[in-house]
Amino acid sequence: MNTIPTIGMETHVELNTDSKMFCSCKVEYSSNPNQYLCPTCLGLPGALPVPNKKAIEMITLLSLSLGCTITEKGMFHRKNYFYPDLPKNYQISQFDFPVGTEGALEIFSGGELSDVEIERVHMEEDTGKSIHSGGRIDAAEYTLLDFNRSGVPLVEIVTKPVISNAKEAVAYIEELRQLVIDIGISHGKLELGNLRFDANISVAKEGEKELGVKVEIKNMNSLKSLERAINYEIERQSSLIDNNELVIQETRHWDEKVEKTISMRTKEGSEDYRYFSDPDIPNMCLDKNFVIRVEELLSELPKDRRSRYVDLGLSLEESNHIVKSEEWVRSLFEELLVNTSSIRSAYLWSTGELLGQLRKLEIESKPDHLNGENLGELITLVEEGKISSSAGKEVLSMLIQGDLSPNEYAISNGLIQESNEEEIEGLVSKVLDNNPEIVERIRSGEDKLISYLVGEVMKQSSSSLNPGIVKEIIVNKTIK
Amino acid sequence: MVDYNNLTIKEAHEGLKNKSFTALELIEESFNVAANSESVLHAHLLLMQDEALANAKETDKRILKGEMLGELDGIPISVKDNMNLKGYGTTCSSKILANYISPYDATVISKLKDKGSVFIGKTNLDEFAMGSSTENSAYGPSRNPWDPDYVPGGSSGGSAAAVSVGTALGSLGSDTGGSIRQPASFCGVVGFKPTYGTVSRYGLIAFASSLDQIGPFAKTAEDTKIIYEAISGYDTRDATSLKLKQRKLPEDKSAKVGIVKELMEDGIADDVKSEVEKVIRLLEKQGHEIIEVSLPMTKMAISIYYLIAPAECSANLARFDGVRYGLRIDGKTSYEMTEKTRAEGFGDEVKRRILLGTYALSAGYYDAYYGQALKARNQVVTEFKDVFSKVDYLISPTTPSTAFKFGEKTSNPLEMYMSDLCTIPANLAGIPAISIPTGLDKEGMPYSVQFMSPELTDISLLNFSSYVEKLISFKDTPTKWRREP
Repeated sequence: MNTIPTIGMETHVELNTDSKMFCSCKVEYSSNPNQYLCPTCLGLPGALPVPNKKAIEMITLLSLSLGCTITEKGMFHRKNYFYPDLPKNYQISQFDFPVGTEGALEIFSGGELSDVEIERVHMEEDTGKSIHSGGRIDAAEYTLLDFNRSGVPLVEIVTKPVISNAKEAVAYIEELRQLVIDIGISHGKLELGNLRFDANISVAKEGEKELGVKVEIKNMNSLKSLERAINYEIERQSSLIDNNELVIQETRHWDEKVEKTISMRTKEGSEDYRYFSDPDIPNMCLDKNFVIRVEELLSELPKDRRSRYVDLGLSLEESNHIVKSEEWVRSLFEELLVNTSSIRSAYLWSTGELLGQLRKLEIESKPDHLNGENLGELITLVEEGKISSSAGKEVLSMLIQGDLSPNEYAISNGLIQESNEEEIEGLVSKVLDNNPEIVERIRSGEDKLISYLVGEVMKQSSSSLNPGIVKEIIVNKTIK
Repeated sequence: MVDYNNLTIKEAHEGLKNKSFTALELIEESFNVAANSESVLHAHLLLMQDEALANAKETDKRILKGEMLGELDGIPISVKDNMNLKGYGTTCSSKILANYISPYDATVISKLKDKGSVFIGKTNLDEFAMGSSTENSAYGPSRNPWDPDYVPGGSSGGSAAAVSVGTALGSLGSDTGGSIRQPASFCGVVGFKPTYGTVSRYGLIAFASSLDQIGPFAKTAEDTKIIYEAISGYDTRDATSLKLKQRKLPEDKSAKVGIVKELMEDGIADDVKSEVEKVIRLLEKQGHEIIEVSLPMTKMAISIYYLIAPAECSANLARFDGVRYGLRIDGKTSYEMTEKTRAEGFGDEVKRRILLGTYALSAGYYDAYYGQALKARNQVVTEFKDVFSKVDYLISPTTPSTAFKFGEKTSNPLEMYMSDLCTIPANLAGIPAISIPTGLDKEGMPYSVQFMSPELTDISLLNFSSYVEKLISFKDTPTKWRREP
């Protein structure tokens, strides 16, 4: 039986504000537990929360980037549940008035662009961290608590159930990550838990109108586990349906080691969080003036960048590749667009050859002296046929090692190619005359042999010739 | 030797300034009174004698140098034990915080420290400020200085008793539904609940955040004004703190006064009504325009209050879980630990309100209870606004009766709740309200009257109260506490 999976994502993004959501403690990753604490984020009796304006600005910026409607009446609610790493035993969150509603995120998956609809974007505070002895909650002898993370501003982005496979879910997270980095609201480091995601997965029989039973997979923070967990879960639910067994509505977690989703013990009945508006925090007025002021902070979004590159001549795939590249690659590429005349060469050199050479040298980022100007000069030398592309690669490796002018280097190292067409034509004629058989075969369609002749011409010359021009002349003299 | 009888903050300040006595003598006298009265009254959970005497000496040094910090420099002040005072325990009269030491100062505390006030101790209260008699204190009740067989009122009963007997010249209490005004009334002192948001709640251990407000006790309205001016003001640590300025109302004969019809009807003792009428006649004699006004929603006030306050408290008190501070009773799991800790640490009234609030917020009940209460509360606010377009001040009883005896209402919580009938409306509306003593009943227990005014007219209300106080001229002081109950 064919089954149709439907996926909705809930993503928590840690903002990169200087201070926490409701107090002035530093937001900083620290290996020293319980370093950044105060009465408020530790939930001491009598301490009060005061919202961080910068965080509200950031979530508004994100909501605008997603094309959401911004609520005029921003409200914080208390979400009540007991957990040792939740200091107040309620989390300050948003309920019926989230900052943003009804938006969309354009993603690139399966070679195509599509929109993932966003249901809501809301603000909340992070909890502390429980460190269970032995690493497992059920077998732990004791649990240590670290409250450094307690009160760090978190934005939760909830999609509608519109994602249809694991690859799309991954593309969605990649795009969201790029967005929060580009608009400057998060470091976007998955390995530090800056983005953590839950996937709601349901599988229905083909042709059914209603969605299947929803299963939530909690708290993943790598794209690899996201993809595997979703695929595993679709497989699991589909085979249950095939065997006419029931899918239970539950929360599961992805166990990396056994590569399975495992049911988390859930309490009977649905959790009642008893949301009510937090009396410690007055309503926020996110009025037109505020929204206009935040709108001014909007920079170019990943999707706009992608379409700009496509307009300039890159394929969607290539544009997306650049958009998702590291910041230094992207800005080098932008500089190359100014300093070279071909966007494709700019793309190939910055994402291909340069990255390849750096990787071989085990260098993570480009050296400071390498910039759009000198790399642009190099690319232009190759583009204009003044040096061969292999010479270009040689110049690049020298450029990586130290600051130099590609032009001067090419001249002083004899890399400049002969471009005097008359001289080349003479050489070509000589070679053609010496190889009448081959010329005949080319004329009857054996194009491959052209390169052989190019090679022969190159051998005749003492200085380096531009193989492109040589080839062009051979073609002119044989086929045309 | 300082004559403590009826000494006001104003007079004590004059005495210090004129060097009639030293701050050390003043504070020593304060501890003399405590030494004589505490065994009977149990107004304090903690006395801070060593630090207080050291601070008094600092005041005396400043006086010698002519660098007095103002009217509160050297003045003995006590603090309800639900406010954080760095380095000392803050128990909220609960077992759950028995061993908790505050690592920080509440904003009101640091403000008073800046003024040179001398903290002499932490006063008793009903556990987590839930109650009207201090009978809910886990550390035993306080007693009324006018007659130790009677309750001092609550929840800030310790503060009221301490000011009444003279251990402190001023005290800080907190008022969620009448917890300053009702004990002030029972103990024959002045108690003032300011406009919500004019005094920072940072460092006050929350009972019901949207209703809680810190305010002063003192012997006169003028003294409460001195304290109010010192503790009020915008605070960046409290998001509900107001930046707005005070509005001025007529403070003399031209002031229009409204009698709240609904608070002079059933449920109010006849002698209490007559006492309020006596004050009304005094005002009429001065030529005030006095009209009867109606606030029908005040009849709903207790119902609204007992949905909103417990709902907020159910979340506010969730943090007492045995994980990070306070009492911890071990269990096999963290949940079991929290359950056992809360079962052991909280008293019955606190548990009752947590249950009430949890229920009122539960899925399926929210709209019928909490949601409805919020709407009704808005209605209360609107009614007060309408009435204050006609009059400057409202007059009513502070309490439906004078002080009651121990055990009289403990078996019936509803009856206990009714003693806040006249005080709760001001909390729901966020407006300032004051209780001032007016006389004594036939048992020798104090009568009082309550005045309310529009939000942000606190100073005018206090000035007007000083003016009324002079008309009433109540000068008695309690004496019966000198015998054992």
